[in-house]
Amino acid sequence: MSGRGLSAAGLVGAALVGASLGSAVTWFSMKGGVAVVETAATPLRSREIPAVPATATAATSATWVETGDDRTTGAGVPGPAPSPESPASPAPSAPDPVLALAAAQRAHAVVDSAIARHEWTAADAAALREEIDRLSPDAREDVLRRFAVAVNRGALVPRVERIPF
Amino acid sequence: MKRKTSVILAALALALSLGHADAGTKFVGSGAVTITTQATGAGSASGYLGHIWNSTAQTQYIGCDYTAGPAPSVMCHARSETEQFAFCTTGSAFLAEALAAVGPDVRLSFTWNASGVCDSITVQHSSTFAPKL
Repeated sequence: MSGRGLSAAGLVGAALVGASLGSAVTWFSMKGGVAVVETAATPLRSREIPAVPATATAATSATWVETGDDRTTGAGVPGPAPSPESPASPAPSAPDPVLALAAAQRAHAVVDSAIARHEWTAADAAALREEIDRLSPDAREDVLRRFAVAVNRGALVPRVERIPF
Repeated sequence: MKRKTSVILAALALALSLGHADAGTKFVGSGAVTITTQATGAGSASGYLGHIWNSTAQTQYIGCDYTAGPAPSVMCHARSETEQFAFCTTGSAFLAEALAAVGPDVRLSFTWNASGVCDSITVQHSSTFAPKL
């Protein structure tokens, strides 16, 4: 990410609003490829607005980290020989490019099919969930953006009760 | 007796008015999810988490998911009571930082471009917002 800028006009405007409402506002935005953060705050005691960290789920893309040949011991450091008595921890495996490509094709097919039907059902969500963790980060972004564009343009109407996935 | 009653009523009125003043300014809108879209497919969505939770509305929601890792992924989604939907995604670690500021009672808003990419996330805290009950 590149540096952070600060919009003086935005800050002044937000400060006026914030001062009148006793609020703290934080904007994060991308403007012309530049990351911009803008804040305006009036002090709020922490007991009034407890800071709650965002829920971070386990990184599904972590399995895409290249581990090389020494997957359990670290590169260049010989480790103990695996013992048949000790349970071996599952080593993250590099994705098979052929399988990843096939998963991407199936994921796109799920989205294509839903767009053709003009609706996103629970079955579509389940089918995409089945594939999404097998995708490379780039392929995952591609699929999700296609879904997003279709939803935002009204070409795809979610028929699920909760969030799409 | 009449005078005594008047004094009691005046004291009661004063107490009530003081109590009201101590309560602080409150956001009086519905806080419901609002989604605005443009012809290009770009748009914005916003909502007040506490107000939405406390409302009698059945279907609306707004939120963002963050998957950490070497390739962070953010997905923001919203649904209004009028059956409008919004969805955007980004791999920007910078925008993901905004989600660290999200609390249970904030106003959350996000915007996206025609390609479905989130290009801003705004988190607002205010004493005027209702907490989840």
